[in-house]
Amino acid sequence: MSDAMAAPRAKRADDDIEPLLAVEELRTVFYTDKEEIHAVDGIDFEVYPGETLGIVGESGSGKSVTARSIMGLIKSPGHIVGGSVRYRGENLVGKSDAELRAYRGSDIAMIFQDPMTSLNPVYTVGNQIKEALELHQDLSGSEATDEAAELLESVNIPDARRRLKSYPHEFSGGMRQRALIAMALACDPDLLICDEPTTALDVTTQAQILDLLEEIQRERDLAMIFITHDMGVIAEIADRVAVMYAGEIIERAPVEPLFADPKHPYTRGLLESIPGRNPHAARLHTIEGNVPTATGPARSCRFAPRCPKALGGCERIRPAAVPVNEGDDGNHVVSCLLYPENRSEEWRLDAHESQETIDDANNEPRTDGGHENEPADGDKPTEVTDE
Amino acid sequence: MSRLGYLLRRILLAIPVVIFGTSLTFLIIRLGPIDPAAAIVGSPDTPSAQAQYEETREQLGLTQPLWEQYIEFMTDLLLFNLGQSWVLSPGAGTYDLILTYAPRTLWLGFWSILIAVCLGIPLGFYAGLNPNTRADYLVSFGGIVWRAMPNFWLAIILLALFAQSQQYFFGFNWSGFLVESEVTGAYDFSDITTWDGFVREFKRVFPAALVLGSASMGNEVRIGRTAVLETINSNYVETAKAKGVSAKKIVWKHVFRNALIPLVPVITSEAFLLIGGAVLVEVVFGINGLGYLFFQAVINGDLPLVASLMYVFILVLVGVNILQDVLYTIIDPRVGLEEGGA
Repeated sequence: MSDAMAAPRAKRADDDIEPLLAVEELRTVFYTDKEEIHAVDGIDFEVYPGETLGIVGESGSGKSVTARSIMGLIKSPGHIVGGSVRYRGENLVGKSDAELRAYRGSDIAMIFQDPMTSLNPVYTVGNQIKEALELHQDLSGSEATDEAAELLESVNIPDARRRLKSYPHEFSGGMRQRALIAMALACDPDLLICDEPTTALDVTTQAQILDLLEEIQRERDLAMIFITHDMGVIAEIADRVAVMYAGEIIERAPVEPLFADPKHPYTRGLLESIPGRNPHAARLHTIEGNVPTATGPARSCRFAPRCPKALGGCERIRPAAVPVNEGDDGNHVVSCLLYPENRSEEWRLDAHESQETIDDANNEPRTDGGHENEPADGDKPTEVTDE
Repeated sequence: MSRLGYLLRRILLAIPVVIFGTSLTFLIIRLGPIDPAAAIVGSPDTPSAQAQYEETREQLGLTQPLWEQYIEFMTDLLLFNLGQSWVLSPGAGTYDLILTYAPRTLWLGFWSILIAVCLGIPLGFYAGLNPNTRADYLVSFGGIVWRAMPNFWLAIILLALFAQSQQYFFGFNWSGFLVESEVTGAYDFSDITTWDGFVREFKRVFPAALVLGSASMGNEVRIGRTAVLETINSNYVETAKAKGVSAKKIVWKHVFRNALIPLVPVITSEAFLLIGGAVLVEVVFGINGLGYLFFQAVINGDLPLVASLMYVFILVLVGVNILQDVLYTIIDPRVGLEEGGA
């Protein structure tokens, strides 16, 4: 059923197309005097050319840290302690700031959550767009002005040439986000990371910005990582979705199957707590409790304390990423001891604990982490870019 | 452009401030306890002295109705008809007196602001760019200590150090360094345009300017550090980084200009303090400047001189305020945005 419904792009994971961006086992830890916070704790995902990957999760689940880790914008006391971020096969983790600068803007661009504060207040909008053009396109003077005006027009800002001379405070929130999008597009990137780009905007402006992003994506064949906590926005814009919880991706699937048939108890809870999805319920469903702060590497399922379906093993086994049913195509992956559904509970517990037998039957790219106490875990037959 | 309109509005608004300030000055000196006639002729305890006292009052115009005196006082000041000194140097025009004393204070004030700005802001920015390093702790701690030392104490200590520099700086002779100069005394501007004259006067003003600028330098270090830290963690700096802008350009283009905005009022408000603080430093270093003149005029009851100096101070304060607004409109395009509101 899910195959019939999935968008054609969503199946690219099966094709031979190389991913544009492949994140593997990425770990980002913040070291403070009191504790270490494992904000991103071993996540894997790929982004293919032209598709939109939605990353969804509650506040504090590590979405923004993921985005900044890709861009190399993690500030001290945060550090990427493991894993890789491969852009067109090139590992960005461990590159120097000067090397990363060549990728930022020109290959991977990013737009941020708060358009009100993301433009420098003392320079004109035109100046800031032209700064990007001068950096990566080697344009200057009137050429750069023409190009900047064209960019502003392409994000539907009327009277673009005059608007270049405006200061950010003369723009409304929606217009500032458009200007920031224009700036991100200035260097013709292949991947655009949108970190909650519509959260700070009112609902009508949100819809306009989403339409604009979709239009731009179509025109430029842009790949996007779209980060949000808003399930409605994800449903509208994403081709595939990764659900994050406490620094881990707990479910990955094309957007239709995820919304039609969510597998992870957390994803179910999230979807049930959208107002209006369940019109017959007397009260809106909520998930009790809060997202825990990860102060160490995961050794159990982090959702177990809040999970309505928790098993005995949830408190001691870290679930691996497994297909919903053993033998599936690997498009719908979930990190939960309840899966693969077609196996017995005992088998599942053993399999998650040893993390060996699950992935040999299918083409699932790799199992999720949790092998810090298993040095022998080297068996990833389908690994393409392992070093 | 509303930036020019904003500036014009600020200048217009300064006029009532000047009028209010001078009116207050008039009230304080005329209704206050100072009796200028008594200051000139002494206390009227004999009949002849009494007559002379009355005559002096008549001459000074103190017998006229108060409102007439007020009108005369205000029009004279506004037309820069500053009158003559009564007590300090009777008959001398206050205008001439001010012209004699002012350059010394201006020279001192100029260097105390410039030295503080040139040392304080770079140190503060450096500390802000390298937060929580050893250099940052040293600069921040030093800034606080420097800020906390009282002017009069620091003035005496520096005076002692510079006057006996051979003893404290391993034989380095400050007085004989480059050009022969004394550490104290009023400045001599007769040959300021020559290299030797300039160096000599700079050497003479340096210790005093260091003292007078010490408080503002401490403030500039601390506020410069905070402003840089705040700017560097702002979203637009992250946007610029995500755009691929180099670290150097981020600091010079995106951080510095924004970090200067909170420093503008710090620098200009120090200019106000200099007027008051200059008296102490001028006394210690023996500089006969405006602060010293004002102090002498007040304790001697020389009312026209006091009023004229007050008027000059008010004009300087209002002028510095307008200068501050000019700096704001240059640095920050958001200034002058609120249309219509006065």
